[in-house]
Amino acid sequence: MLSKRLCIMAERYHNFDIYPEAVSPEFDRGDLLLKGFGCQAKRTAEYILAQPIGLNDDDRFVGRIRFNGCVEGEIYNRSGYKNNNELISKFYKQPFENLCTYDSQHSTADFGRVIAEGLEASLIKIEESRSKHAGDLDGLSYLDALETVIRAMIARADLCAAACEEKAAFAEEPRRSELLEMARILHKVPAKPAETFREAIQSLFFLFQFLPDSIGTPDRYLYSYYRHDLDAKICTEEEMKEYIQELFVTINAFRPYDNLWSGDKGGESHFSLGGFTPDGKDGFNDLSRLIITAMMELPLYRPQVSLRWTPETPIEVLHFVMDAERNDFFKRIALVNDVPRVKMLTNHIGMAYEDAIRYTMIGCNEPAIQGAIYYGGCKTNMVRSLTRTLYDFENECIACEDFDAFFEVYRKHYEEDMKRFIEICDGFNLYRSRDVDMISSILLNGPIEKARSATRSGLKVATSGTDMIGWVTVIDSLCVIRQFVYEEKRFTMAELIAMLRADWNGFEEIRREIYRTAKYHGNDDPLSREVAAKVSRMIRDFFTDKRNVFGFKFVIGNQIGYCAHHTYFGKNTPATPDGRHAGDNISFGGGQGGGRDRKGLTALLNSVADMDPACIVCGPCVTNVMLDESLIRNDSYFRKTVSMVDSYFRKGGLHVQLNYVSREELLAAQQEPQSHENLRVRVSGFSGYFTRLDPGIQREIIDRTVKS
Amino acid sequence: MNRACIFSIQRASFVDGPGIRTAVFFKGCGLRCEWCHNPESWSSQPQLLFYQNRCMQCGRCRIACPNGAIRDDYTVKVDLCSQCGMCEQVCPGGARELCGKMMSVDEIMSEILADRDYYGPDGGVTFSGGECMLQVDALESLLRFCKREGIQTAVDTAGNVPFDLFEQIEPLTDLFLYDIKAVSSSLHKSLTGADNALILDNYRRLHQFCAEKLIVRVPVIPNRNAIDMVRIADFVGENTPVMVELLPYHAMGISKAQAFGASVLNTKPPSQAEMEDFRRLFRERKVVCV
Repeated sequence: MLSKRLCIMAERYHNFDIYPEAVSPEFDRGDLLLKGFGCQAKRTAEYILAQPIGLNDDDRFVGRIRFNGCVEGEIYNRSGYKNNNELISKFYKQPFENLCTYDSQHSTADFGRVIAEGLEASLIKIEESRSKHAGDLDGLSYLDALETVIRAMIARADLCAAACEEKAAFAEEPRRSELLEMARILHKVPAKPAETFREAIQSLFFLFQFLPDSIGTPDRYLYSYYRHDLDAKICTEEEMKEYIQELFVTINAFRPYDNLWSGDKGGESHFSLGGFTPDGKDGFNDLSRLIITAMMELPLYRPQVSLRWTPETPIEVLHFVMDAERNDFFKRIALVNDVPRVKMLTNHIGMAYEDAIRYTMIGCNEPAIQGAIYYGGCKTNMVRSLTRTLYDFENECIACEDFDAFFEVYRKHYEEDMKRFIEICDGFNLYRSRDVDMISSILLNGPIEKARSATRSGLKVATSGTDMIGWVTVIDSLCVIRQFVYEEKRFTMAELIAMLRADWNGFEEIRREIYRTAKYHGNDDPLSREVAAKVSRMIRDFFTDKRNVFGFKFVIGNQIGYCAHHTYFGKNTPATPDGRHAGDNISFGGGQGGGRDRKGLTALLNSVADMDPACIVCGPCVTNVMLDESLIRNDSYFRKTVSMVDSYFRKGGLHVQLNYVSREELLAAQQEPQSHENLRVRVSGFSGYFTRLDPGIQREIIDRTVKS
Repeated sequence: MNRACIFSIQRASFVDGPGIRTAVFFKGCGLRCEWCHNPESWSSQPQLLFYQNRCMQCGRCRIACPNGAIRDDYTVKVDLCSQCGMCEQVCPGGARELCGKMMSVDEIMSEILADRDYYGPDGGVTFSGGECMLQVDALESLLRFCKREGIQTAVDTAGNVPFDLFEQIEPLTDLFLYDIKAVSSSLHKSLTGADNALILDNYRRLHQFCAEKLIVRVPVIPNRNAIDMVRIADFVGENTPVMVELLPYHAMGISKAQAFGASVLNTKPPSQAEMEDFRRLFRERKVVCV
C-alpha cells in the first residue's frame, strides 16, 4: 500500500509542476570569443549552477533541474538541441519523398557505471584521455569542456547538500536528522561511488536530471546495493520501495504536462527488468519484483517497463508481471523476448554477448544500449518500393512469369529505395552533428575516451536504424499477387495494375473477393509464411553490410511512435494489391487487423513469431493484441493467457502488448469522448488516453481484431 | 475411416477443457436441444447458411446455382440444394457459407498440430460437435494419431450412443467431457427431443470404467433444466469422486441460428448468484466444481 508520504507526493505531482522553474542566467557576451567548446561549456556550467534547488518538506532526494533551451546542444531532453529540433520541425511528421521521416533519437545513460564509479572517476579518465589526444586541439577543447561541466554537476550536488543543511538548522526532529543525512549523501554522491541503496538512488535521482530518458536496467545495477543493505540490515524492503517510488514520481514529472503527445507528463520514460545474465540464466530478481510492486502502487502514467523474458523465466514470474499488467489502469507494462534481440545484437550488430545483454528497452518499445545513442532512425515507408515497382515499372512486372521473378523485380526497387534512405539518414545525422552535447556525453560511454561528442560518433557503441512502416501491407500485397495472379490465376498482373490505377473503382467485387479469400498474414498459412520469410531475408540481405556515416550498423524495427506515421505515409501511397485504397493507412507493427486475421489468437501469434526467420528485426517493434476482457478477468482463463504468451515467446515472438477493451467500447469512445475520458490503451510503444490520440492511431486500434 | 464431416475447428479455445485447446466440431447430432448455439451441427450433411444482412442481391448466386435452388428473395429451396458450394464461391459479400465439409484425418491433424506448442501439460485437443461419437471410426483414427504425437485428447459427448463405442475409444482418450442436461425423463425429452435412459446408463458404466477421466458438464438454462438441478446433483453425487462444470446459458449462437433458418431459445442467462447456488448443490454432495 502506498505510504501517506508518497500519497501526498503523488497528489502534489498531479496538481502542480514539482520541478522548480528554470532560470535563464545572463551570459557574458565575451563567452562567444572563447576558443573551441569553451563558450558552450562555460554557459552550461553557469546554467547548472544558477538553477534553483527544489526541496519540499517531505523530499528525501534532491536535485531536480530542468533545461529550458537557453543552453545549446543537449541531446535529451532535446530542448537546446537546435539542429535536431529543426529537423523535427521539418521532417518528423512530413515524409520526405514519401520515403522517410526524421526520428529524434533516444540516449540511454550508463547510470550503473557512474553511480558505481562516481563523477570524480570521469575526471581521472579525462586526464588520461588528454595524454592520448595531445595535438588534437578539438579533442582537448572538448575534454576541457567535459571537465567544466562535470565540476559544475559536482558543485551543484554540494549546493543541494547546503540547501539541506540550511533547512536542517530550522527543522525539528526527525526531519532535522533526515536533512543532515541527505546533506551527507549529497556531499558524497554523485562525485564519489555510492555504497548504500539510498546513496545509489540519490545518485540516480541526481544524474537522471541530466539525461532524463531511460533509467536502463535498475534491477541489475542497483542489486548489489539492495542486497548489501538487506544483509547488513541498513534498510528494509519497505524503505527501499519508498525510495524507488519517490524516484519514479520525479521521473514522471520531469516534463511538464504536454498535450502534444499522449496527453501525459513524463515523456517516453521506459526501462526494463529481467533478461539474460552473463551466465545465460534469467535475471529477474527480488529487486525486479520490488520495482514492479513499487510502480503498481503509484497512480502515475510513467515510467513504462518491459519485462525481458528468457526461456529460463519461471512461469510464476511471467504470471506475476502479467497480473500486474492486467490490473494496471495506466497500461505501463510490455513484454519482450530476449532471445531474438540478443541474437540480433550479437550476430548482426557484432556486439559481444556480455555487452548485448546490457541492452534496455526505452521510449516507444525501442531497444537501446546503455551508455549509447540510438542514432535516430527514420521511419521508412516500406510500401513505396512495392508501389513504385507496380506503377512505374509495369512492363517489367507483366513480363514476370512467376512470383519469384516478380519478387526479384521488387527486390531491385526496394534496394534502390533503401540506398536512398541511407543517404537521407546520413544527411539527417550529419546535420544533427552540428550540435555538440556535453552533459549527455558524460553519462554515455566513449566520448571521454574518444574526446568527441556523442553526436559526432564519440561513442564506443551505437546503432542507427529505421522502422519499416507498412511491413504487413507489403506481405499481404505480395501474398495477393502470388495467390491470385500466379497460383489461382484469377486475374493477370496487367489486370491487377489496371485495378490499382483505378483505385479499385469499378472493381469492388474483386476487391471484396480478395478481402474474403486472400491468405493474409496472421492466419498461420504456409503461403503468407513463405512470403513473410522472403521479405525478412530481403531486408537482412540488404542491411547486413550497411553502415551509417559514422560507421554504425542499422537496426530494423516496425513501429510508429507518438505520431501516426502510417497515416502520413499512407496519404501519398496509391492503392495496393491487398485491397487497400489510395490514401488509406498502411500497416505498422507485426500484427494484423481489420478482420484480416480470422483464425484466432494462436494463428496470429504463430504468424508473428514466424515472420522474421532472418532475425533482422531487433529494433523498435510492436505486436498489439486485443483480447476480450473475459480472458483476463477470469483467473482460470488468465492462467491460460499467461501460458499462451510464454509459448509465443518460446516460438520466437519478439514483443507483445495486450489490450483488453472491446471494439464497441472504442467506437463509443470516438462518438462520446466525454464519457470515455479515462479509457487508456497501449498504442505503439506507449499508452495513452484513447480519446486524445491522433485519429489515425485511433482508427488503427479500432481495427485490431479482438480475440476471445 | 479416414474422413469426417467437420463444421468447425476452433484454435486457442479456453473453454473446451483444461489448458489451451484446439476444438474440432463434428457435424451430426442425435439431440435437438432447445438452447443449442450450434444448430448447424444437427445434420450430418454439409448445409448452406445464408446471412441475409450481408446479401447485396447481386444475383450471382442464382446464376451460379446448377439446381435453381435459390429463390427470388435469395432464400434457399433446401430440397433442391446439393451443397455444391458454388454460391459460396461467387458471393462477393460473404452471405453464403457452406457449413460442414468432409475432411481427411491428415487435414484435421494439420490444424491440431499447428498449435501444439501452446498446449503445454494441460491442453490438447477436444473432439466435440454435434456428437463426435456418431463418426466414431474417424474419431478413433484421430485419437490414435494424437496419441502418437503426444497430444492430450478429450471427447465432449452427450452420451446418446451405444456403450461399445465408448469402449472402442476409451484407451485413446484422456478425458471425457460428458453432458448431462436433465435427469427427469420427460423433461429431457421435451428439452432435447430424445430420451435420457441410455445417456444416464452410459454415464454410470463409464464412471465405473474410468471415473478419473470424467468431467460432467451441465448446461444451466433458466426456466428449462434449472428446475431439475437438484436431481442432476443427486444423480452425479451418487457416483463420486467426479468433477462437474456448470455452463451458464449464453445467447451468442442466435445470429448463427437465424442464418441457418432455425429458431433457438432466447432467454436471460443465469445470474452469478444463481450459478453459485447451483454449485453449492453439487459441493454439498461432495462433487468438485471446476
